Amino acid sequence: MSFADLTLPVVRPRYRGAFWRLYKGEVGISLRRRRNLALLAVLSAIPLMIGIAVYLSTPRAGDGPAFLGQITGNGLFLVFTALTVCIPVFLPLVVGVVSGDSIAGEAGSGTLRYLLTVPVTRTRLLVAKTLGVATFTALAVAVVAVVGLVTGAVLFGLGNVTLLSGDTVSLGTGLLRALGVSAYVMVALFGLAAGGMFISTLTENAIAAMATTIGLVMVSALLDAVPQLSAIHGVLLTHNWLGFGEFLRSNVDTAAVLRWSALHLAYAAVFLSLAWARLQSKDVTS
Amino acid sequence: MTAAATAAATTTQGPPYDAVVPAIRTTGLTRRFGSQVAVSAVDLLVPRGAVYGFLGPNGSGKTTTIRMLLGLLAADSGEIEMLGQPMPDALAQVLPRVGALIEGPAFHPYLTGTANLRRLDVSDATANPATSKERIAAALSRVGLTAAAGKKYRNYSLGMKQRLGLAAALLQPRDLLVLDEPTNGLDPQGTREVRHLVRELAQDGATVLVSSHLLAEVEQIATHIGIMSGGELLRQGTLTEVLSDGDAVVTVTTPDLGEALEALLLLGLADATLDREHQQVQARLGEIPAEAVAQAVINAGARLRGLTVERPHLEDLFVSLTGEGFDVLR
Amino acid sequence: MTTSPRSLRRRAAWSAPVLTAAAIGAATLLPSAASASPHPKLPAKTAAQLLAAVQSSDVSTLSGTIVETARLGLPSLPGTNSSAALTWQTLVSGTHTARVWFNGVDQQRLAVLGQLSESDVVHNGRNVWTYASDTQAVAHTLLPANAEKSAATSATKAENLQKYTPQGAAAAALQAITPSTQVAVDPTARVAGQPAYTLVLTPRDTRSTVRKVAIAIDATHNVPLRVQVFGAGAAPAFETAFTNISYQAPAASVFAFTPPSGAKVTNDVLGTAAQKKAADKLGTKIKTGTAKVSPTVVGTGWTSVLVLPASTAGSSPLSALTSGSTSSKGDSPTAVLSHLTTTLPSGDKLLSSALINVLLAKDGRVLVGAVSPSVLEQAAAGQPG
Ligand SMILES: Nc1ncnc2c1ncn2[C@@H]1O[C@H](COP(=O)(O)OP(=O)(O)O)[C@@H](O)[C@H]1O
Ligand SMILES: [Mg+2]
Repeated sequence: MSFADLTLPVVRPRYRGAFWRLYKGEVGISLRRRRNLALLAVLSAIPLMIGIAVYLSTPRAGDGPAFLGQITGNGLFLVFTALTVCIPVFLPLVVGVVSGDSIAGEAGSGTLRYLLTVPVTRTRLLVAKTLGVATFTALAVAVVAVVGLVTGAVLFGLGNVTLLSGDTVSLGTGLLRALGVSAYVMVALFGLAAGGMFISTLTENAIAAMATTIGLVMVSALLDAVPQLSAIHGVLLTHNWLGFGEFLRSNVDTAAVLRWSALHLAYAAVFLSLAWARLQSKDVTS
Repeated sequence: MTAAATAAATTTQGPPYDAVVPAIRTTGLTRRFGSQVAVSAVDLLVPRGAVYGFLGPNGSGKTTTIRMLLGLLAADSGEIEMLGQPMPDALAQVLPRVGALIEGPAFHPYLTGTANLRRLDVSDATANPATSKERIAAALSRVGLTAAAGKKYRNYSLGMKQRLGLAAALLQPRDLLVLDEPTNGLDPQGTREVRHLVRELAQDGATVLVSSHLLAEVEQIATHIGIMSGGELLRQGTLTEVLSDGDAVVTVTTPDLGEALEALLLLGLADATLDREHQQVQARLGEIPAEAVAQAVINAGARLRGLTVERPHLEDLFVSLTGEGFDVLR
Repeated sequence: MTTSPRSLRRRAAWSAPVLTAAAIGAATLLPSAASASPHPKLPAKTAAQLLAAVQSSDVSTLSGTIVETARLGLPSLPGTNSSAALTWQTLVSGTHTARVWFNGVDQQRLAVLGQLSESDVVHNGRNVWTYASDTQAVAHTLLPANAEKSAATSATKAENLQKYTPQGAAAAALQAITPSTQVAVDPTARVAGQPAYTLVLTPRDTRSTVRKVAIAIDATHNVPLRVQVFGAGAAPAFETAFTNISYQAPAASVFAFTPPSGAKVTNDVLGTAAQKKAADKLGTKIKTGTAKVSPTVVGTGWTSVLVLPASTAGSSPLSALTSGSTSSKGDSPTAVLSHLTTTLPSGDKLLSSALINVLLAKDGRVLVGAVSPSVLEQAAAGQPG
């Protein structure tokens, strides 16, 4: 029996905004998970605790993490202190958990097979997951920044901002620069998030994927600390994470910021294409 | 709303193609795991409208086959056609019309039943967002989960989980349902409900592939049967076709054993045996109708006191094909 | 087994990351490759012409980024987590970045960049401001009006003088160094995107640890762009270079410094009575012998050795290092020293690096030089303290 002469099979029409709904579903699920909410709560506690500690014991300039001494003069600096404190460990931890869980968690619990048979094509799923993880990453940074800003404003008030170069800019400009700092930290973490997603496609064990992703940060930081490897320091995943300081200089070296951001995005691109290739060829056996 | 405009054409209007187009057809489907051949050159044929019982002991390759059908596993070789289209190339067009339950349900434990279904529904590009709520409620009520819809999945019992899995398969009108061990973990009542549900779906025109290692329940609902063992599809066809492979046995009760035996042998029945104690003659019926046997016995002058025809049970066939015993074959 | 469609499909998917990586590699390497090659085709110049051009350069405005890198190859210190040790370590092995802005003799700014800190020196007319973000301390120095004037006039005088005989000055300089040094010019460099000549100075004396010194000079603007000092290794032991440079006048706002409100400002006025007093005090100190004995230099040219007498050596950076590590680590200074140094048969201790060698003599003297250890030992023997 030849199949060519048959009536065309029915193709169900697609509704507009389908991808947006898929993405919203992803974000909604990540925000309904108690574990993720706890992570955000921990992040928001950090600027809060720093603010209260500074309020109770006025530190001198040069004490503790960068910008700590300036908080009492201007609450906006709590944003920078909090981000400086969070970027080596806490933020990577959160990003590692969420990105490492993204595919491996679904594979491990078996929900991946039901998503794929809905069907959500693997490419669509990866893009939606990536955007979901990126959204959560951005949210995590925003939580630190916003809680820092509010806490700082309430406890210490806001005012003109003294830059690292010693020049003073208006509060408005200072807020814009804080926005730049936050955006840069988000972009810097995207590289890691993409790495976590790739690792997440390699296993069905979400915990292993999270741990490996966080291990990625530690290895990079370790290599960065070995002076004999200075030749490769410039291209390490974590090397330019503190580059947000550039936004706090009088003359922002935009070329350098763009270069560093490009590196973070290059990491993201390579990791995501790896994740895509892996997901395309992955046998879903769980 | 523009979505509603596109939705006008959504509902399937009757069977879209010729009945000869099978719902599922595979040719030479093969998949290895390392050196082990989990599915070996399987030519599955599930006609449209059939309730196909996909039988086989544990580890015989049913789930692996189903995973390949649904594009979760890549085949090493062989072709798959579902609803007339090649898989997995036409996956995005075919799967919206297929509801599936694969090796048990799987949902997010921290979400409620409703939220879990909503998550799947919003992921479906062909699902009308405007009717999402109603469809979810309908699916839940169809599997009897309405009361537990607001409970977190982690608090569900095994049977409730299984029901939620079925509800997910029924979120949209489906042309084909692939149900892998759908009665796992269900109580007898639940098992009966599932049987009822499958019959209902079939009546609505859907094709159903039910895999199971429980023969009795499949025998009651299946129109077609395929028997897997060791990765190979040993038998396939309509229920009667498959069962006739194992011949029916006719037993004639009469005091005139000699005449009866002669009549049966004259008719050409094989394996005739005498049982003097019970005054019975037995033989394999083959293609001969039972009434012809009765006529022949009477014509031979024997006093016919009783005549029974015993068709073999699916279970007997199954055991004869896949081997006795409780062990998983591989 | 022939390749199944499954493995084919899989292999095809993996070409995506390969292509992505290749594209990124190409995007990063191509522009730099384009700027690096082909080598700029610069007309041949002699060393004398090059030096003369530098001296007659009329560039007075520029801005750019300077990166300094030291690879002295010192053994790493124990307890590098202590801040003192870290400072020492970053000094001898590490990279420092600074930005500079020049606008004539009256306006300059230097910003030394830390990761989340910055130290600035801003010179604007009579005002010199320094600011350190770590301490938020501001220092202000007001230059004397007349001194500024005289400095300016003397500068123009010197400039005029140079303008008359830059060639002569260059020739004289070359004549002075040629006995000890081989001089060559390489016209194929590119530094900070600018085509450049490289002046290569190679010591004739092989006892020097300096293999060669390379100075890259902007071919169009005649500004030195890079200095590299090569020791034993292939990479320069010390290097300072512009990574980008612009010869446009910086914006006026760069030099306008207002101390942040609330910052502690220490004021200083040059040429005041108070300063005279301080200078006088120093003079009496030197006369009465309370000031430290000054170091001496042994040898000439590339093999010069600086000898710090025992009393001076007591406050040398080396001892500062050992005491700094002690305070945080709890190790005794001698323990730290023994970790860094090797003891010679003579009983002296040697601190060896890719470029500089330091001899800690038994008698307390410290000998420093860019020379092989044997030269230091000879100097120590010939110059008993
Ligand atoms: N991911 C896998 N890796 C290795 N072997 C597998 C995998 N999945 C299934 N198998 C093997 O393939 C055979 C068929 O399994 P399966 O299809 O699950 O059987 P069934 O569903 O009929 O019980 C079994 O022997 C099983 O061990
Ligand atoms: Mg199974």
